[in-house]
Amino acid sequence: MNKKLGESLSALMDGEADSKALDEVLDSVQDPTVRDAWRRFHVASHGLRSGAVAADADLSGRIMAALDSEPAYSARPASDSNAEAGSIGESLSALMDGEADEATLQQVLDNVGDPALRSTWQRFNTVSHALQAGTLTAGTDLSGRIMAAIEQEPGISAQPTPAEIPEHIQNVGGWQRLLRPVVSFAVAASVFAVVLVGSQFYGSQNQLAAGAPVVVAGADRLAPSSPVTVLDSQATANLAGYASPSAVVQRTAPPAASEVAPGVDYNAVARQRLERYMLDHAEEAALNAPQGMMPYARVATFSTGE
Amino acid sequence: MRALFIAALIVAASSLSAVVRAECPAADKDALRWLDKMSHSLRETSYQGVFTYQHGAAVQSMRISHSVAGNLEQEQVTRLTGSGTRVLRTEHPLDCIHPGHRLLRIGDLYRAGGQECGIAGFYQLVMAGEHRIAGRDAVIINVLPRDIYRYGYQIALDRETGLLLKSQTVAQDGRVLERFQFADIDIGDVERDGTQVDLLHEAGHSHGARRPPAPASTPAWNVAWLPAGFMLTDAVADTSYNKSFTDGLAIFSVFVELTPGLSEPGAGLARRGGTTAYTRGTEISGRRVLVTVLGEVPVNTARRVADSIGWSEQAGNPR
Repeated sequence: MNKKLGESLSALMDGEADSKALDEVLDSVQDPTVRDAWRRFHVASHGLRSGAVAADADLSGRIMAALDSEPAYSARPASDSNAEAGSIGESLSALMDGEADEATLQQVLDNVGDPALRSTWQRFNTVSHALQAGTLTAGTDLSGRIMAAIEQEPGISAQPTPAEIPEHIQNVGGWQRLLRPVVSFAVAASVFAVVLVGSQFYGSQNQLAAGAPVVVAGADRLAPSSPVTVLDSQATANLAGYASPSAVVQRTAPPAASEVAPGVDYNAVARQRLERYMLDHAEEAALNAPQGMMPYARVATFSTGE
Repeated sequence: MRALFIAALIVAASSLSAVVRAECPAADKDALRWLDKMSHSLRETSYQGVFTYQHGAAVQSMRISHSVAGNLEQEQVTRLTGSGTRVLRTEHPLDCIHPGHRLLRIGDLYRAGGQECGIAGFYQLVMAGEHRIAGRDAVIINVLPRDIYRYGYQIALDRETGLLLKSQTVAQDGRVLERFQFADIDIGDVERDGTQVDLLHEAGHSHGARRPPAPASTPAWNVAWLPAGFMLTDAVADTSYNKSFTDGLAIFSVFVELTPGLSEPGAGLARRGGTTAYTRGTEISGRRVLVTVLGEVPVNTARRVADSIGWSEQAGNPR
């Protein structure tokens, strides 16, 4: 596969693709090396289940953003309005990244008759589960690391068995096939997405879409008129209950040997930049945000010289 | 400075018309008027009091005072716990309206004949009853983001003056990330604050003129992607090492440092309260840089903004 295509494919996986990159990939779908790389990406993503790869928590969001920018995605059932189009993708992403209550999702899915829909949702959910294990650990560029891992893995470079590949991407036009289940389950998703996303704020009474078939359990985290407990921002993921007990927020899943970037602890760099730049940021916030000068309370270190 | 101020106004006004052309579903007009009132009262009311800043288990108290004399504003915050630090801003003209507040002032939009939408295009505003805060009756407004790129807020405004008495930042799953809340407030004349301080910091307001120059010779850079409704807070040079963007409620800042000695690419994340810091070491068109996106936005947003940073000479249309 030539380097430029590799970059386009990489951009596609990371959700950074513009339509030009997508066109390029689709045009090359005849190219067996491209199809192969796409299949291997899916095999690798299945491999994320093991938690061996520390990944960005927003992969699902970026996949959705890439899907949203794909023209074919707009060919959806008539019941969806254009206004819903972008927000469905965003709602789904919010659901996947927002630690939605799995029991609730499962309850809704059981009401969805189409087994292909359930299966596709399970696949997204599986990847999302794996990503939750590293929720607050941002890794390096995900597709780059997956590609690097793929290059070095002799087992994966062989053709994956049909059992490993989701049925809907086995053929040419796999990209189109991938879209169809997503588009059709967006219909079902739109029914509960509004319910779940909306009701995660401030109690559910005002947020339920008319005719929504489900009552959302556990969504009343904040009642509008009662004082709110300030939750420790570190004690996060287990609120939703679907992260396994061992998937505590700050655990770093041990990276595969090929992915270790020796020397630079970027989380430490981020913490240090947070301190260094907080004052600059607070200056702008104090002038533009509605809290007036309150943002200066966030600044731990004031520079002594000016 | 005045020319810069006018330039900033022009930038703000033209970007603002783009803002109001955004999709504008049926907005709660009451809530919009309250936000307008909040923005005005923040600048125009004299008050003093003590507020707390909470995040996680940490609580900090600060004394704040704000007074208006003629057309000039003077305000200060003093830290009451930990180190004795005071931040002081003096002689800020009342007619110097920064882009964040311009986005909240729907009244001005009405008068200018604009569509009455503004911030309601990006947040759903819901009046949510009343509550008593710092001994005063307050109205509660829930501010729900319309996309995944910003946080939600619950704010309480003084029923009489519209002054912000409480502001809490809420993540998508309902967690409260941070909260500012007045414990005690006096609206009216302001007395001199005699608290001892160790450090005095003077806050600027001169639209970028006070910014230190870029550390190294940073080439002109721009941010190609912003969430809907965000705009520059200041007309800064394209080579400035720091640019900030706001939608009227949320704000984030982008920092670009040339780092030729960067040995390994990578990215890291740090969070404190409602603030996210996402730092990435990478190469942009052959130059190694450390980019940091810092602000009260989710990590999705920080990452996408960082992805979209490029040198202006490549993009051809500097922001």
